[in-house]
Amino acid sequence: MAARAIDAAALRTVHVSAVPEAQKALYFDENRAEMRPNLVFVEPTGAIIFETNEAGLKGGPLDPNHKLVVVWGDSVVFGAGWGWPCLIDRLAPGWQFLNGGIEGDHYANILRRAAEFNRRHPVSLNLLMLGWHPFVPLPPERRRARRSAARSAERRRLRPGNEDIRSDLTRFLETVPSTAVLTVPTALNPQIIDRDLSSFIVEGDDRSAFRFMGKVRYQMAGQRQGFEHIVERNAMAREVCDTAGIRLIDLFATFDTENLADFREHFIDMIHFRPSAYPLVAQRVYDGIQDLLA
Amino acid sequence: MGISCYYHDSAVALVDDSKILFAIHEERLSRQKHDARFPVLGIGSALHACGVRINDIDRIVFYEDPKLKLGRLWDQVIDDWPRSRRIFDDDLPRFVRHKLPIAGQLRAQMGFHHPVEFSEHHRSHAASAFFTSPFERAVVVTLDGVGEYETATVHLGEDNRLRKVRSIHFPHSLGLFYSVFTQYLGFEVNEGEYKVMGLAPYGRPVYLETLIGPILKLQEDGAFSLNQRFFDFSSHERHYAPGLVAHLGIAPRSPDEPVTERHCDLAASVQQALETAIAGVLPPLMREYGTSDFCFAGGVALNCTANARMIRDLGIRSHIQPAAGDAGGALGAALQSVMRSREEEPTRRYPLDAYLGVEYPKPVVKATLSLNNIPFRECGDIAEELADALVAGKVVAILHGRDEWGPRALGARSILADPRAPEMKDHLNAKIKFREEFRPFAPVVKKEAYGEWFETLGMPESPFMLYTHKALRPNQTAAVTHVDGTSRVQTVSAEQNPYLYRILDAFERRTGVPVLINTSFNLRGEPIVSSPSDALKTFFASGIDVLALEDVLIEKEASADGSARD
Repeated sequence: MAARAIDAAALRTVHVSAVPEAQKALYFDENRAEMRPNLVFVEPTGAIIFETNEAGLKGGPLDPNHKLVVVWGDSVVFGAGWGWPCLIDRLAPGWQFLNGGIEGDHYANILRRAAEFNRRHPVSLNLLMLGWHPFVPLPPERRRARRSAARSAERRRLRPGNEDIRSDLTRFLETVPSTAVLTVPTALNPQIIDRDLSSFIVEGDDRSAFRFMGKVRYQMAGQRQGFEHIVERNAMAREVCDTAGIRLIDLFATFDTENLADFREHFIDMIHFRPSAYPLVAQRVYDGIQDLLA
Repeated sequence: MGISCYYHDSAVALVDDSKILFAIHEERLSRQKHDARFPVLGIGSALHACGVRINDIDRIVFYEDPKLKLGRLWDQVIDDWPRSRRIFDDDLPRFVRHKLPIAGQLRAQMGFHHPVEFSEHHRSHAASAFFTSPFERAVVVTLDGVGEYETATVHLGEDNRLRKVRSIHFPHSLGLFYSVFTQYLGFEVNEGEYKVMGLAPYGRPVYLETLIGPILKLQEDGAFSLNQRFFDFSSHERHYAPGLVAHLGIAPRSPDEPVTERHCDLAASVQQALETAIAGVLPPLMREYGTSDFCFAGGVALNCTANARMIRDLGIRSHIQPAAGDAGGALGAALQSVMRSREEEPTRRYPLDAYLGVEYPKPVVKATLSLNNIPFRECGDIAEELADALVAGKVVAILHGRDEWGPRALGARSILADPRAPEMKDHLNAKIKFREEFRPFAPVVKKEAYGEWFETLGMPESPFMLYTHKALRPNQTAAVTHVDGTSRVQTVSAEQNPYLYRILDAFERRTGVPVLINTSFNLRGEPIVSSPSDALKTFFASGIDVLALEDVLIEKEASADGSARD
């Protein structure tokens, strides 16, 4: 049987799974700072790992018979394989949950992408996680002091990368009010941030491994910095949502590891959920928005 | 692992103690022609293909020395100020942002914790050629635009050692000489040099004396220099000075202007000047080192016409690896690093295979087709079916095994067609390649029939399409015989590429001709395809009739006039 005439541009691009560093280069359109549409990542066996749809979101094609929810964020939302957002579908009949996460995405670009997408598509609900980026380790004291002199007292109190979160998020929520905000979870907690955790870093598969932060080598100093960075960011998200009357789903609190026997239980590194935890994450997010879907 | 990037043609190569494990141009994977960016896709594919993680790599070697190169750029800024303003404003910041911190990028982006080394540009070129050659001792000549400072070097290769014995520095460069005239003739630098080479046989070298002497000075000892009055390498717009236009008496051609006889004559003259210059380099070296075994590398070594002339005129034995340009520096960087630590050991060489890139398993092929709802057929003997299609005048594209290493399609990602009728060239150009009429198509021939169909140049094989050979039966290979009676031949054996060999064999049984047109599987301006997805897109965007992805056949529905629908 011969193939009919086909528009080459409409063909879906199939990529074989690559190492994580290369994967983003395949799905991320640098010029538009968005995910490329119509991609399929497959295993060498041909099994599908994940797809991007015609709108450049991780998940299946846009379904006009379902109300659309998009989860926006960085690698915590992007996840492994299809990620956890798509798992909420089965908890919420009649709704389609798509994954708008991009690894390493700056929060400002997350906001830009979400706002732009809402202009083009009818989104019933946006779930927004600001993510970790930019995470700027604090410079040495001398440089910090010099920089501080040039900054306002208000901004000086904030960690680099968080200075404009409050105003940027407020502005976004005014533009896209159909949004609920998710705080950013972490495996770190106050009990462990100053401990040497290097012995907890282990190689292995998704169930057994534990890394530091993605491909970053273990460094104790990074723990406190990362924790303070995300605590500050989450606090601002809570404050903005409280002021604006926006629903907040506090994943940071839900997945607080302080009272767990093993802080690694739900996390594959200090910032990313373990794939085995995805169903639980999906359930907790659903619990937080169930009434909004009614 | 060797890498080259941030100039043009990024690439990655991975070697161990005895083999080249993987090598690929980044453009094949990124789909961006001449992609110069950090080769993250190449690195990822290398790791995936070899089943290793980044920190299983002992060391990563960058193909040149960024600090040395920065020195040259500064010199150029100072020497040519204020004409060099653009280098200062654009090139230097880009260099400092990207190339200088390459080691840091490898650590930050790839999480690489082991040593990062730096080779030198021309040493990388030389190593890529010599350590893949059949020679225990040879003179290694590298010629390109410019590396750090050097534009040409001569190394003496002995056993596991390479020793530099001559070099010529910027701005005196045969590569830049050729590129300037590529630009002068209206073609894109680093892309259109093949076009000048293809155009040259249509002209007469009537400008040769205008070039050699006044512009390109050649010395008795083989050294050369460029009269800087005619060049402006610090300009971004054009690398020739107004004085060149006055001297030649021919206006520069704009890209959309028709090619005239004068342009052909200029191309012929430039080509001959290049060949004369190279031919001047070699004899003193042959005398001094008592050998006629030569390795060549650098972009100039992709000039097939010059390569063949050196063999014909000087009787040398020649070795060139298929990615002789800057991409090949990735391979050379890795090889020179390994061999430097093996200098006292018994002589070793790295066997050279054209197929070093990514291979797509059959389940991926089938998934690609299924996900796009493309009807296909698995064939028990696809070579026979493809031969039938070729004899019927159809154009066939094949994707088989690992990507080729280098800029040429060598039967892993190729478009094949019947070479017998001269009209096939126009047909290919009109329906698929959309390229200039004067550019010839190349043939692939069964290795054992090579000597009956083409001049062998004394070589038992020519597997990388790097030399032009006289066609011995031009009437039967009309579509691949250039106007000067030569062909840019690739030989293939059953061992090298059994898939392609079987197609040739089946075609020969039907026609008596063991030759096919072999042109790169891409559209004009695009890189050669790598994946089944790339292949499908090119197939449906062009007039290719039949696509073979390994042993899976896809045919286009015929239109009312009998031709395949585009």
